[in-house]
Amino acid sequence: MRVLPFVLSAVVTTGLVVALNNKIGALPPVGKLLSPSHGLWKNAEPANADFSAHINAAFLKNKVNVYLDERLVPHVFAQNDHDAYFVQGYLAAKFRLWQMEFQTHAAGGRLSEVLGEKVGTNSVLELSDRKFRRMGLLWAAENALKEMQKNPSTWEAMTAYTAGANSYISQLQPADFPIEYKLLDYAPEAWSNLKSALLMKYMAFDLANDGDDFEYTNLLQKTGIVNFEKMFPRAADSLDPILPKGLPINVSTRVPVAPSTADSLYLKVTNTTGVAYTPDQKDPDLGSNNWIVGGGRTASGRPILCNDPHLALSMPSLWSEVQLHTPEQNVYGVCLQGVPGVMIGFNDSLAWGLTNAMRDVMDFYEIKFKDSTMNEYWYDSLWQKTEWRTETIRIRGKADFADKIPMTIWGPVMYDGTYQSQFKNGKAYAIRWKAHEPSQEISGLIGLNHARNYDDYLTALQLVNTPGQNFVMATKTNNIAWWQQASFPAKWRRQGDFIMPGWDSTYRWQGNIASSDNLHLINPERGFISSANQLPADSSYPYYLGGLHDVYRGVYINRLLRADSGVTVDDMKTMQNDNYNVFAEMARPLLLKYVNEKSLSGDAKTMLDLYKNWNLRGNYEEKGMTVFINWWRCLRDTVWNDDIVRADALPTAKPYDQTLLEGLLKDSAYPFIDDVKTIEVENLAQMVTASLNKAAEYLKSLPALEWGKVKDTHINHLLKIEPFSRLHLPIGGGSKMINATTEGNGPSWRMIVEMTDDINAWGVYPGGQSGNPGSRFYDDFVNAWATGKYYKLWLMKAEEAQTDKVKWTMSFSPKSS
Amino acid sequence: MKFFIAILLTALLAYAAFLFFDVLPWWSIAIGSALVGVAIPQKPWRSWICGFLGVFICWFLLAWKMDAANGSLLSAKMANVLPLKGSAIGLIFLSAFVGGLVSSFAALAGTFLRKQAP
Repeated sequence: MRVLPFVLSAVVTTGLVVALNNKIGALPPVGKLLSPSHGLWKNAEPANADFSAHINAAFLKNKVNVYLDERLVPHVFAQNDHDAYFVQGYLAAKFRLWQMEFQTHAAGGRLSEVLGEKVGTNSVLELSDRKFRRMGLLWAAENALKEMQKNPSTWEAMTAYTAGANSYISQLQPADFPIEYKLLDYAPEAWSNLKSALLMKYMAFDLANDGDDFEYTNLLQKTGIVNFEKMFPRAADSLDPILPKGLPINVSTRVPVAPSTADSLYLKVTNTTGVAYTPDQKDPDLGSNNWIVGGGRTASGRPILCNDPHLALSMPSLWSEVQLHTPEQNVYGVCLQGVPGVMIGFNDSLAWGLTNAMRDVMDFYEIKFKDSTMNEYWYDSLWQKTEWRTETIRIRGKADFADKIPMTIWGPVMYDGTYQSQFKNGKAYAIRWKAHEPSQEISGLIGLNHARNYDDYLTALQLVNTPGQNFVMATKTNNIAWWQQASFPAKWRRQGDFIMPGWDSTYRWQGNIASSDNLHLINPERGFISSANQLPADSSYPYYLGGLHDVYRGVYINRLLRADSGVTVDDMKTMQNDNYNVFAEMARPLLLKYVNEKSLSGDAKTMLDLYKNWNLRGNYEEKGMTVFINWWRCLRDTVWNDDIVRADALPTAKPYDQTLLEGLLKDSAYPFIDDVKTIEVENLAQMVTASLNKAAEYLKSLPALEWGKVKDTHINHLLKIEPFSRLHLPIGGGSKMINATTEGNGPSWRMIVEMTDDINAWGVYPGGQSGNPGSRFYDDFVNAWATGKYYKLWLMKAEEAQTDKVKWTMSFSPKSS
Repeated sequence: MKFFIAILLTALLAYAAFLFFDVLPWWSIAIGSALVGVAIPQKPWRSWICGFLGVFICWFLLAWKMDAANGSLLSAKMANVLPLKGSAIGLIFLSAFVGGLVSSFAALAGTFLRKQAP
């Protein structure tokens, strides 16, 4: 034995193995990753992969068959609901494991465990984990879990789902982990009912967070309430609410009265929030639509229900399609990865769809602590004891971080000197949020899946607490309905728009709007129902709703539906993909009236010609759309910036487009036009003309003016891994159009269901059934989605098991493996 | 002759490690290659080359076969995640090279473990 050479080569070998077996910085464990036995090659799913399998599971009561069609949609045929949910959990883990765990890690404030404290210069700990912990998402999920435990059938469904997911996870070999685990070098853990609850709270965060109280307060402090009211008026004139204007509204819930100090104290903010960053807020460009055309207006004589819920788009998609068939239910639609049941879809009697209610159910209260220990806070002239909740955040490669969160009568203190207030001015803000309350949305969902008629639907809705949604429904028996449903606080006007005093109980939410007083519409005379995130009613509804509401999509949808009769599914496909910009239509007379062509630059004249010849559509190839939106943005910024930008750079809210447009249309001497920073008084013509000149300067620097190229829609992978994302998609549309597809948001699911005897349903979502970037089913729907195509949704019947539409069969047996 | 037997044996052991992925870690190829180094007396540089080529060939063929079945769907993406400009064949070569590298030094250690140079 030659000792030295042996030792040397052995050390080199060991060193290589260790180096290649571990993640070093951002570099994945290269040896493990590249090895054919354990690495990426194992994730390279053969194009002709056989998904047929036989699985034994002692947890099952009976046999279950899963028929997979050519799009890899599972049609689950079980003898009871329990078994169906078990298999649904199994399938979610099999096809979407990494995503379902990663999303709940995000919701539970656990990303640092996986990603480390920082990714690049971004602090995962501060921007994600501490935010969600301090927002109380985990706490809310725990509260919801206790509530759901009280409902035996929900609890059984969740437990079965969890068991199914775990029966897949527990047998999974590291070699077969999804590719993201291999890149980040970690392992999946067991699923739990808490994780399902967390995912629902993540949806509540996505749809019902409203952190703009800080920006509003900062703006109010700068402008005063008189100007603020002009910048954020009660409702737009062009509003076409969900409940048609003029219909009577009868409510019995007591209308709340503002506290006596509201005018002197609350609406006269004398100092700022001191929260220097921009909290999460709703995106004004998001846009979900749903509408039902009643049988009186369709060619078939049966209702057609349409729904396209818009969300931030991601790969793998939030949704996957599934059919659950048991003696108790036969439901088809899209589900969340991690939650039993179908979220949006139809069964053999009824179809339903969702859009976001966009109401403000998240308010912030300033807390006065006695001293820096934060052990006591002032409330109704007494020092109250703070309760403490410690959230331990594990950090990869570092010691744990213990976040001590003061809990008040309002809820957790989200912001204080230790978190995200760069001024460290000692101010603290507690968050009061509907999503914290015990609730059982999953029960409501399961109820909807089983609903056979309007009454079942109405009963199921009562279990939805947050997020508030516009639930539309259509049955084969020609009933159509809409309820804006959730547990909503009854608010006085402006309650919760600004930071409220946490030491004064008169500022609390005074009660909930009774569920029967929630806005609704059943079989309306006009023969259709639509919602597009607009205000649900005009001011005859006596409660203050808060929140952010689009105007234009609702106007246009109703315009189209009013004009239509003999409606077919094909008409509805065209309509869901419609890029007509009704906002641009209303803005056009204004811009053309006030633009002074003599004062335009050569480039601006060229742009104006493009604009004049534009068809008002946001289609991919339209250049006029690009000119319009940049012109409008320049005008908007010129009008507002001098009025809303603060010298101390604290964030302020920007008034919405409808406010500016309607203000200018009504009054060419709109008070905000003048740039207060200059001596001369600017007029509208100057502003409009200068804006186009400025926009033209920018536009000429662009490589292309086609709207679709400028907008450049993409669907990012959840880890923003570019090769796993879909970039530069050939799709038009945009904010304020029915097809509200922006750079990163868009219709996360498009569905059209005609309630004929054999249900005629169509759908598409931007993704694919598999979460594996190495599968041909990863993104195979994306092109169809981008080009406005649909797939026929197959509500399979048991006797069709032998047809060639079934490509693979997975059979589950109730035996121990 | 020994040279080719050593390559073949190394490749076969690497293939066995591939088949038993559920119990063996990916780096068990190093143990196989070291054993070949011990069992077949060769000059160190020849043993090093045999170790490299054995696993290189085995991994190349395996990766190539899995990639072909997949239509290079994943490799084209992963070759952009790793800086290989989207080249699937480049990713196959890199995989084979990494396996070969580990194996080569393991074989060398095996050879040096023998009492004497042949």
